[in-house]
Amino acid sequence: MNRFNVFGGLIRAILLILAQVILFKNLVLYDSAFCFGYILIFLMIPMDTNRIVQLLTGFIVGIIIDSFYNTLGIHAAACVLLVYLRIYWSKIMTPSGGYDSGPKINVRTQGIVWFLTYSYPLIFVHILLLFFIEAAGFGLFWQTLSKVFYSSIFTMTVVLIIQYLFYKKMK
Amino acid sequence: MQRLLQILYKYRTFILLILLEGICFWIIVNSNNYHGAKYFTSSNRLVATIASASNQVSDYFRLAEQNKYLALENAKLRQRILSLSDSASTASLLLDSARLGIKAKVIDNSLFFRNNYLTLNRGHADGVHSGMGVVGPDGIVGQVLHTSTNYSTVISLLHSKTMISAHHNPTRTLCSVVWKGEDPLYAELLFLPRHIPITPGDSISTSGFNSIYPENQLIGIVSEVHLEDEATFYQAKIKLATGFYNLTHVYLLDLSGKEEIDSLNQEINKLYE
Repeated sequence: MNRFNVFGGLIRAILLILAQVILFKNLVLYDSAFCFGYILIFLMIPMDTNRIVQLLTGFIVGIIIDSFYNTLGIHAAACVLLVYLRIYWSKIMTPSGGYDSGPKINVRTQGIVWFLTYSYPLIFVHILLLFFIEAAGFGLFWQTLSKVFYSSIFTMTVVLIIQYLFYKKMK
Repeated sequence: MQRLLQILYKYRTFILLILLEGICFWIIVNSNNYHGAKYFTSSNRLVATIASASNQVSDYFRLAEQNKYLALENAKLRQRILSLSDSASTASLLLDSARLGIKAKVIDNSLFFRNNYLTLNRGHADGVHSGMGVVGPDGIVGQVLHTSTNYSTVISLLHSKTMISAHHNPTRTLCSVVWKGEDPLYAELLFLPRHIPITPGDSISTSGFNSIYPENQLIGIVSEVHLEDEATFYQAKIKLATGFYNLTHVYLLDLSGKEEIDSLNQEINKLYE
């Protein structure tokens, strides 16, 4: 991982956090679909990044997002778990013969089917954990589960839109 | 020893995961009691500045709607002035105006989580301190949690820890209001005994016993009533008076006797411990 990648990653993280707290935070569809577009930060960390660094990134970004949502610790817990699961999930998802375009991940290089199967389970687990810690138990189980379901689809859509908008086709 | 270190090194990712998750859950459990937690809430200056900048933009789109609400509130106040002929109501108005302390603007508000918070653009530089009650133009809104110099975070009425001492207006019976997390428009009414006649349309207001809100601030209107055959208390739903969807201006109240009442209550609690 060279210096340019680290810099690009930082810029991406800052922009996505800003977009999350200014824009995505206010996007709520039908009182139940929330958008957590900042998850894209973790989905796009290059595969060969040091795992310790990845986990710490998850923790720090989580705490920053928590400050804006007044839910100290909840986003951080979900993010750390997401990053940890992604390390192993991306190993399982490795196409035979390795990644064509090096360790970078986006929908243009990998194709939409691969990207959906790679990111949807991760997004779902993240939001599942988020809402169940927030509800502090299973008291409102079905209501919370429906929120998780709609939010994960909404977040997935937003993540795809961002990918198609900002990442050029590989030649 | 070397083998131990080797094992630790091999599982370093997993150990770090456990460690970080441990920290997270420790924070989640303790953030309500831990004072340092206030630097990671929306009353933090940087966080609040960003929230207030984005609020300035979104405000612009709601101007027409807000004008309508302010005009309505004006009309209501005018109506009250007209009915000021008898001295008793003048006295109560004087009391009220002494209590309507600080006017604040909501710069951030959430509705759909289990625990919701608001951020206001007034902090301890303006005399806000934690524990103050917050009321909107139509009814009560919440209670101040943390303050910084220019901003404050408020626990919304829409929060799992909400428990408001209330009374059923026509009969002055004491009861409690809680929010179960289902709908930002409705709350539940608890502990209203079955011998009290209650019908949809009755108003529920604060009792003034918890020394956060003054007496007779409207909380909501009863919308649904159920009574099981064996139950001691009614199961009732109330429609909240405050419209949390479009809340922009609120008032922070400072009850003069609050600290004295609180310390008296603590003395009583000590006796029973």
